[in-house]
Amino acid sequence: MKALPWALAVLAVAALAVVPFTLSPVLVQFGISTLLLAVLAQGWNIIGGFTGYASFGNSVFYGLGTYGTAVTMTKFHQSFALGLVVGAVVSVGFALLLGLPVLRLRGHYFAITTLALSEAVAAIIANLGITGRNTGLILPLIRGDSMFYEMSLALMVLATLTVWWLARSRFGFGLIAIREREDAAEVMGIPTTRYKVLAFGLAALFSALAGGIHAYWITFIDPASAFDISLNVRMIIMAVFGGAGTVIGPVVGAFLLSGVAEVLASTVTGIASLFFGLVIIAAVVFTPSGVIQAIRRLPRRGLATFLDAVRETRL
Amino acid sequence: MVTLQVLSNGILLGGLYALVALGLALVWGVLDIINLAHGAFIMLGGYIAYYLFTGLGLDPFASLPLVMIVMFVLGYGIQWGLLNFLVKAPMFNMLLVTFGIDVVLTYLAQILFSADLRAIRPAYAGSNFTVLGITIPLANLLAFVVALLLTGLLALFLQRQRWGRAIRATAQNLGAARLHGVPPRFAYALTFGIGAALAGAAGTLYGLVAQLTPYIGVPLTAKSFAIAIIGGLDNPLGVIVGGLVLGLAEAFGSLWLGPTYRDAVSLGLLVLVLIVRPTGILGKTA
Amino acid sequence: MTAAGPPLFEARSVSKRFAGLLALSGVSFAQHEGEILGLIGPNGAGKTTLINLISGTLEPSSGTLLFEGHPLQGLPPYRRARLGIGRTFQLMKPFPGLSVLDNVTAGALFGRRPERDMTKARDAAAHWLAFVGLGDKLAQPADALGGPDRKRLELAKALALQPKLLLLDEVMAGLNAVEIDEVVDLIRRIRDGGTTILVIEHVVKAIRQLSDRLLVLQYGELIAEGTAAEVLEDPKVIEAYLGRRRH
Repeated sequence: MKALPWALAVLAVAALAVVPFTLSPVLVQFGISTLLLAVLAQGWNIIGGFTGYASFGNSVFYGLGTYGTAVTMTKFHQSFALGLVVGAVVSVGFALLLGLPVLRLRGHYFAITTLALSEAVAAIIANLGITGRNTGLILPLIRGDSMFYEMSLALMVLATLTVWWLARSRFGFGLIAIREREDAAEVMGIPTTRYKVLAFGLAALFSALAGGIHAYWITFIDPASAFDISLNVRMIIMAVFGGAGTVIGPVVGAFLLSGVAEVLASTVTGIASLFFGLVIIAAVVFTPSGVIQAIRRLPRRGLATFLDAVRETRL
Repeated sequence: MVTLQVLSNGILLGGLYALVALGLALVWGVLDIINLAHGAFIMLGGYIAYYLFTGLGLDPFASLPLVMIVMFVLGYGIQWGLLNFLVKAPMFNMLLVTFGIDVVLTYLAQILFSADLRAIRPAYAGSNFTVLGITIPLANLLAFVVALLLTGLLALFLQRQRWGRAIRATAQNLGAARLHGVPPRFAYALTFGIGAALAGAAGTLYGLVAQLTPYIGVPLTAKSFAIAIIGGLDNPLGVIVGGLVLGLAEAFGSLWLGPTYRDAVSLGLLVLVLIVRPTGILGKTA
Repeated sequence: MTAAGPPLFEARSVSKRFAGLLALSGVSFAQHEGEILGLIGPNGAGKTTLINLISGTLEPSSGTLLFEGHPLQGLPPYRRARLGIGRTFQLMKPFPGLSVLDNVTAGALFGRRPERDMTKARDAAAHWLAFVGLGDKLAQPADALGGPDRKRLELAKALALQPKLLLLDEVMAGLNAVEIDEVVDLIRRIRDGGTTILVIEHVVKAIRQLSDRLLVLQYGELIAEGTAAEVLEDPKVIEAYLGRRRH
């Protein structure tokens, strides 16, 4: 194990950890949102980046985690810790149960099914009494953004360490083989169904925990925000832009893209979203394998890296 | 009697839905591109027809060809100038770029057209006629007929005409397209352009029977998916089946479970079809 | 090469139907440990279908497959790989984004004697790659290999599973005479290491040299079985190959 990357990582985490005590409250809030998005991106990275099953509905796990935590705390008056556990159990259970039929689909079909599933669950929750229907739920208020910040940071570190372990483990190797060629993986002794479902469950776990933390922080949740479709696109683009299948790619992508969005929102009001759309387009065209890959190639090819990328993917 | 009315509503809606989904199904089935901006194209087509109506007094059915031409040019340009550069990239790159296009188009529309509700309401917009105790709005019926007509025309085009056959060949493989004497870049741009034109036509009719806002794009894209999958991507006529299934499901879902469950019904149906028969009702078994 | 004791592998009246097409019909044979069994037949005879049935990619419509006396019915491909059935694909299927070494490491990690330690698995993979003659290309991307090397990679992947039964699907297609001799030698050495082999091949010279026994399939039916000398003189076999234009 090389020492330098580890040292840098520890330094980075330490630097992030002291943010609530050194920087402005606005930045702390930005930090919480971005860290949770990074967790979602890492969750997607496990099922989409490593296993090759590009889910477009991981927001369902986030939403189930959100509601699991919220219902436990509001309707049953239990602790936040228990709320997180319930949210995680519901979400992972859903993933394991529905993973079996859904993971039999490939490519576009899998993507659409996960999206539809996510929307269907949202539509159902919007009709149930216990979840407060469309009006939503209000959680008990607790002050202290710093606490939520450190929790989000801890979760992000945990998710990233898990992905790091995946990249080196036998299980992760199996997932990568599934991504590369599933039928060949099967005859090589890899239990593809079991591994895919486990990866899905792992993604669900992290997404659910992020949802739970977010719910308690924001204190108000409703189906529209908990199962927000745009979360899916955001987590995917952060993971892909940063580098799907890498360890820190999704985190880098989350911070870069969130940062750009924030800057645009504060400087060029109103048409910030317009520019964000253009940024997405440019990013995907010029760095199709992600920012990390592009950075690796820069020393060799300089700016021509971006032209190479375009040439490789054009018709 | 209520059932018959709901049935009639569902069928009329279904026909329009077929056209709504047609462009997406074409581009997806032939080019393997899922255009997340499809709904935005529909929205744009609707607004073009709206301004032609309010500005020049053109009836939407008369402006239909014009709208289709404009949208064709837009779609052709987007494929030629942008999407052709991403064809060989991983699948989700295309999804992300078309999402980016959707974001851009939605906000351009918001800035240019404002968020106010618009509707195309020519003189005949309010007339109904009654058959067997069922009320049938004239505009909806006309839209239904035109929608099915366009769908049928596309199916014929792909079967008979040279360019149509070339497009189908491209769907098989790029080498075959070259054999037909059609360079792939052109075939791709042509197909995407046609998809956009069809979306524009759907938007025109949608503006006539429903309302236009800059935000109708995403839900329409979602419905187009559902329809394309339910009907199957192998046959362009599949969207008719898919559209009817969705239209009827929404109509009866509203009746039996209440309007709030409408989305849950159509989505639940979609998930079921995907799991049980992913190639759709008319698709060939994998 | 007569072996005592129960056969390692047995097919009993195996048939496979695909929506109206009968690809295999009543195929029965046995293979003993240490045997090299050749399988030949005209294109479309059902050879690859048989391999797919043994490896678990497909299930038979009727009949039984037995490995070491246990029925294979219902076992998914990965379990059969764990039991010791390895195969190569005619249309080779490397893991495209991975290196040559990583391609083979998969087999070492998940095969009959699964290795849990990544480093040890990679070492084992390197050993098998050296065995097939790819020792100097470990770091290359798998999809950058040329034709003959791709076949060696396919072989190494299957060997890394440490299979008891190795199914080879036309590994010699497209190779020149020198390369064919090398592969024949390789296969012999694999058998000498204790592996039982079922070889599908069109290259008659090679199959004659290798096989202890030969099976001939035509239109999904077993039309001949015996030593290479016997089978290749059999008039039914000659007719099957020379065709239907006799009249």
